[in-house]
Amino acid sequence: MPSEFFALREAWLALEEPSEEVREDARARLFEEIALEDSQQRGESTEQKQRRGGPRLHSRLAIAVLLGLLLLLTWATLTLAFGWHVLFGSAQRASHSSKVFKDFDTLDVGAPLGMASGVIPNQTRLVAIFGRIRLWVAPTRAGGYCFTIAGGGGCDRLGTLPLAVTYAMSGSSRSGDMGIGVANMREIYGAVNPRWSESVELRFDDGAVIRPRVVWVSAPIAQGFFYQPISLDHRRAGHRLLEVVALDAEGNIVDVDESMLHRSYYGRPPRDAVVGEAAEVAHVETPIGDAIVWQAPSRFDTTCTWLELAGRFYYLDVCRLPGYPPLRWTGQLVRHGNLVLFYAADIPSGGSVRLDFADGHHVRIRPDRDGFVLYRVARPAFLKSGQPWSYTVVAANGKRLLRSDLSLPPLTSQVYAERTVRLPDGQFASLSRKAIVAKARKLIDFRVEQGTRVTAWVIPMRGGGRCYVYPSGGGCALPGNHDSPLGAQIHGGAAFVLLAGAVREDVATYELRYEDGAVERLHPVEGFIMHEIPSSHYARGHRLELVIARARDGHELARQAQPARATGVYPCEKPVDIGHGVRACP
Amino acid sequence: VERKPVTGPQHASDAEAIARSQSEPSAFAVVFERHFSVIYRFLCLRAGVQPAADLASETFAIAFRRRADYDLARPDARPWLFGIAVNVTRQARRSERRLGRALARLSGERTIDQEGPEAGLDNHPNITAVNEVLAELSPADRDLLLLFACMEFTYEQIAETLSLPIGTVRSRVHRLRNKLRGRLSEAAKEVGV
Repeated sequence: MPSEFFALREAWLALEEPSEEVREDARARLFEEIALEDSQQRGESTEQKQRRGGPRLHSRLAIAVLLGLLLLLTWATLTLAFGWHVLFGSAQRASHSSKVFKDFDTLDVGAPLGMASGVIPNQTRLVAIFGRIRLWVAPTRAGGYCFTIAGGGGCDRLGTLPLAVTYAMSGSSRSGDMGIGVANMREIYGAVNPRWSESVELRFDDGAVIRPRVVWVSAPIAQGFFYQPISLDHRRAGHRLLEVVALDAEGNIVDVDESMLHRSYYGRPPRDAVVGEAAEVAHVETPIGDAIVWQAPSRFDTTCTWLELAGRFYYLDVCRLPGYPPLRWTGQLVRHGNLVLFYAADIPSGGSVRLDFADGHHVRIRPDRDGFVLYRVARPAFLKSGQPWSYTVVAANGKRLLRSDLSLPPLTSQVYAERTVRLPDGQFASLSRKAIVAKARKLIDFRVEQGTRVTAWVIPMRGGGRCYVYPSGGGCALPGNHDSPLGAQIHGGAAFVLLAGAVREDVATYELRYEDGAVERLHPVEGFIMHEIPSSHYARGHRLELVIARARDGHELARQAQPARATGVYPCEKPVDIGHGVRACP
Repeated sequence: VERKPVTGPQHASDAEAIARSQSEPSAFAVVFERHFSVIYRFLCLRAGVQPAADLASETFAIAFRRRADYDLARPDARPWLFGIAVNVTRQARRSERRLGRALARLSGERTIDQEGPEAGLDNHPNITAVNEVLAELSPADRDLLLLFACMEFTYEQIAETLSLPIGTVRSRVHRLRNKLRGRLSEAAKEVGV
């Protein structure tokens, strides 16, 4: 080598080796790719191009049970994390013989301890390894099952869900940037019921189909489990995941999960509902025809509830399996243009619902004999945007059972039609197609104690409304949406803890009260709050325990207790094993 | 009876590992473990310490996806990997510049371009002075210099990595040698290497 270059060579040799952290991140990324291809090469996974349209037409007709599956899995995941499952029912033995089942009793033993309360610890099994990802499954004493995979997981209390899907977003827990929307969807996993299904397909916007490997496990689990990393190519606009489909042996669709599409209404009743057996449970006259609430059994022993209005079908609840309680007293607004309906179910006999409107007046509504409420809201009541709506469920004896805010749905579902955008700081986000990214501007920007820069972006939308993007969160809202006064929430689980989110326009002060008596008062910037919880409040006994939203004149608008005892929210020096291979700060 | 030496995965050449990874994708991990460090350190000098981790990660992800294109007649995968790393870096820099210009149009803020061609380089104490010299070079010359001086690649390997004729590589090395005569050693003395 010429002597002129010796110095450069010396400088090169003086460079430090990559840290184990850097190496591990890169290794994980590579193994994602390997896992993706590994599963394809096993023959149980194929990728084939389909003509656009065709079978995807079916996907657009998905049913509320899909949302329910997600809801149940989310619920289950949360409860798993906090360890207070109540599991019941019995798993069902697979009826299909064409699948190659893993004999549960012969699978490897030695799972991480404490998968969930109710789980039989010595029955936990390592069911499959997808690349670097290990899938642990355990039955519960009550007959259901739980699984953990890639730090997440879920439970099915009855083992009867046809298809249950969980979407995991990418991001770095160190930076606190957890990624937003489908553009950051890193992996999908879930379970499919062998009673009805033979295979699972992931269908993408560009027509591609991936059929992930399904690992079938015998009774008492009686489920098929799948795991699929989503490649970078399939996170780009035009190539993203549309739906996850369970198919039977003949290729017929058993169930579809398209919850990532965030549709507000559909063109037909829930897919699985036996429409011929539907019964009308409530109706109200409107200028565009009768609005009718239907209930029907489904081919999966569930009960589906939907509202039909002028050719649109609004899925009011998931198609509920027997044994799963309905969302008690939960009210919601349904919007068709300027027509707004209020719906609630399971209102106790003799009780009522009180609706409080933006203009200050309220109405009291009696349920029908089956406990349903369907009420057409007079137009002037919702013309004032940015004002609170709420409803209160009152028992026959006058006791208040529930009070909750309501959000007026957007006029169209277009706000939810997302695309992947890159913000000026380089981060990707999935935002409404109406978002004008060229007009993105920094709303709040600061460095947290440990030095990471955090930025909240605000992006206006065509036709009004705006989107926010901030570390670990974001979203869009049209004008007229009634943001919660308590929209700023704790975002922990990283190296720092943020309180961030959009709050209602009438919130002037956000008061933070800590366990040690300390109080902080924040003032929203253009309806948005982003604040670092100081590290002096990480330790138990010093954590945030209450937030109060106050109006300009100081009166309290709303308050909410905070999860001061939750695991994994606040950083610590020594994370502890909380079970199923996950370490977290207590 | 023909005997063959025992060749476990760790002893396989890059080409053998890549060939096996066609049917057994996890075999590619050998290539990663063997070369990640050198690719990462190259990218530290080429693009800066901060982005090097992401770029190195991207390099191996792309390499894995494109391994079917690898010429199995070449046992050493480094030229191929460096070629990908160079392209990944250039692509990232182009994206950065486009983004910077777009941002500047919106906000009137300083763009990455206005900060100079090496805005992406970090102020790592060991390489700052050397970087100042490197920053004066065109990206193509910088790649060539790093491969020649740091990796100690042969002219042939550099030609393969950068898709250049070997004569061009020779003449550029000669030109760089004249251009940097004495300067790199002075820069290195400043940081005591």
